[in-house]
Amino acid sequence: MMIEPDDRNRDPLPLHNAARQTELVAAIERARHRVASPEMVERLTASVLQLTHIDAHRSFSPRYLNTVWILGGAIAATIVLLFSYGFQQPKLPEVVQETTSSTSITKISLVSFNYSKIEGDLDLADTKAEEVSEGIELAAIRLEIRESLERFYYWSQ
Amino acid sequence: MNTKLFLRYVPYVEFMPLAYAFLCVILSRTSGADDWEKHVKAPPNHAVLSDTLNGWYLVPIASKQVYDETVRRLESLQTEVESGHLKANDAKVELVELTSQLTVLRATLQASRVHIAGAEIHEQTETIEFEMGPEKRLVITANHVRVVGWEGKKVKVELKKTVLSTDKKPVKSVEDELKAIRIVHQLGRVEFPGQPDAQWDAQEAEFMAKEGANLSKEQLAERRVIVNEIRQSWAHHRDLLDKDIDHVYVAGLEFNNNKSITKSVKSEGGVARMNSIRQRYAEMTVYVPSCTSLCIRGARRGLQVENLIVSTLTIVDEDSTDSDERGRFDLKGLEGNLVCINFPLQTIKKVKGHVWVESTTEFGFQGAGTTYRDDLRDMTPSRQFQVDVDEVTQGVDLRYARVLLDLANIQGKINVKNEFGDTHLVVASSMAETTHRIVSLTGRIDVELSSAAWDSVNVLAVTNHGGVRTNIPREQFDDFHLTGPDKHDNVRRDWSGFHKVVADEDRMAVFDLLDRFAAILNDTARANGLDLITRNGFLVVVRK
Repeated sequence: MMIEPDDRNRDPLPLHNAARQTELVAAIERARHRVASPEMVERLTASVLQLTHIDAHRSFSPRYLNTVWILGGAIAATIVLLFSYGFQQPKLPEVVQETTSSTSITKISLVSFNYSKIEGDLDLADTKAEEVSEGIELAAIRLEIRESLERFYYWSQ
Repeated sequence: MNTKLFLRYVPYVEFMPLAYAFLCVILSRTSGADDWEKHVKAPPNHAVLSDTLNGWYLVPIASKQVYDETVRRLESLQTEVESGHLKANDAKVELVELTSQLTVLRATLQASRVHIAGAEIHEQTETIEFEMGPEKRLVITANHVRVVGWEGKKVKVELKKTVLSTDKKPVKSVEDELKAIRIVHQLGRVEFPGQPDAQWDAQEAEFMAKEGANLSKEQLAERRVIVNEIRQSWAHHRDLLDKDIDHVYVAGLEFNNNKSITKSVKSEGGVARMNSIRQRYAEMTVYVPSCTSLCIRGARRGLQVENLIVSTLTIVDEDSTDSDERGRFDLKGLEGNLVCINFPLQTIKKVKGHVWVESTTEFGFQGAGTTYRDDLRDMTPSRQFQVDVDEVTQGVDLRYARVLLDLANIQGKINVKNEFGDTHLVVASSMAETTHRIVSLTGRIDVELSSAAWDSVNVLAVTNHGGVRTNIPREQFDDFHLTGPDKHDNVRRDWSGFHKVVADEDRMAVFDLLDRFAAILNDTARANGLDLITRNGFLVVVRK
């Protein structure tokens, strides 16, 4: 997994990095093909889209944005998130708590929360993908052995 | 003269029975030696690789032993994979290694094998053609049959006759043997066991009118069970009994007309083999136009059915006077329904219709035998006989005692009981909305479902004493452990497995499964779904 969960000192908005985004999307694509649960893929995709959306807004930089607009958007996003995750309290990274601007706190916390959520989901997806892969692989190999045995048991005339 | 006096005057007479027994042993040994004296000599240090009609293929014994040992390693790998003790990647590495070794060893054996003939082959061919009777019903009775559907209006029959001889017989004698094998075609009533429904009903009515009145309700019920059993056992002949039908069979292969001969081979430092085989053989090829029904009887030396159009094809193991363990028994292409009873059909493919099979006798022979070691005797069962069922449009009803069953591309209802054998089902598209089931006592059940198949059906996988494995998450395929009444046997049992989670279902609904188990085992009315039960086997459900 390219996104390290405990790297507190990195760029709080890592998704500015296009390569990182590409890799994330690739991970989702991989999950889409390997994970049995379609819900898992949908959840991952939704999270990334949401984060990308916020990230796109972040690219304008808070200095050039209307504070009220940002605050309103952030509150709306928070409400959406709270509903999405059943009012689960997100655990904010330290970097967020050190930030002075309340607007930034809200935005960064949203991003961080989603970031960690994606991270968790991707970890889970990878674990599931491993399990699914093992199950399917074992079934395939069993069949392959059976076919091989049939081939090597008998002799044509 | 009394006995004591006789013994006194004839010395050593008391040892006469012993001497007689000793003489018998010597004679029997000499007789056995005579048989082996006739053996064909094979190159030294060779083992039999496979049998042919008139001989054997032999290979160097050392190479054969290495090959057999490598096959046993492949069998062990299979056991480890099935138990789940080996990781897929490790298994794959070992599989590649073993198959590479076996491929090389096999090529070496193929290149070094020699054919040793134990008998001489004489062949002749005979052909007849005829138009079918108005009923358009045909019965074929032969040991080795190939049936091909064709567009011709007549039925064409080709008979390839074979006679084996182990000594230099005069040409005339061989010709007489070949002439004795012939095709017979009859149009008329055929005397098969059983009787038409109307006759059964009339007999029953007569019985009830005369003696039935004197029987109690219980006695009548018992009698009904027995009568129905007898009636059902010959039900497959029902449509053939009271009609003029075409019957084609081979004369000259009856037990009393077809004597046994012995072929034997011996390799110094290697193995010796002696086989008792029949002298006469015949392979019948029948070209059949579209018709109402076709019944194939016997055919235990081989059966090939290709591209047939017939309302009902019945294959039964009756009146075969010979069998061949190496024979192939395949059906590839049928427009119509198939009924197969106790016949070793290995392939059932491309059937536009319904397939009904009841084969509860043992067909496997590979690996079977009795070995002797010190004071132990080991009677080993054969490997499971493999059956492939693929591309059936109107569902299957299959009952086997013990086969290695592969099912794929089955449309319609899947109803399988494979009591002691392993079953492997692949479902690529959505399943019909009906009550599917695969039931076994000790066999393994492997099911591979596509996402579309999974979405289309409720799945239940359960065992009493076996294991269950799946890659489907718990929130979709929840596990359960129940102890409760087995309404199939009226005892208490443990049931463990996975069941598909239904949205908004009452959590207590899991207890309803106890009723469902009995309905599955008895194949009675229940909600639609794919039900998988192995009482003491292993069960795997994989979603791909």
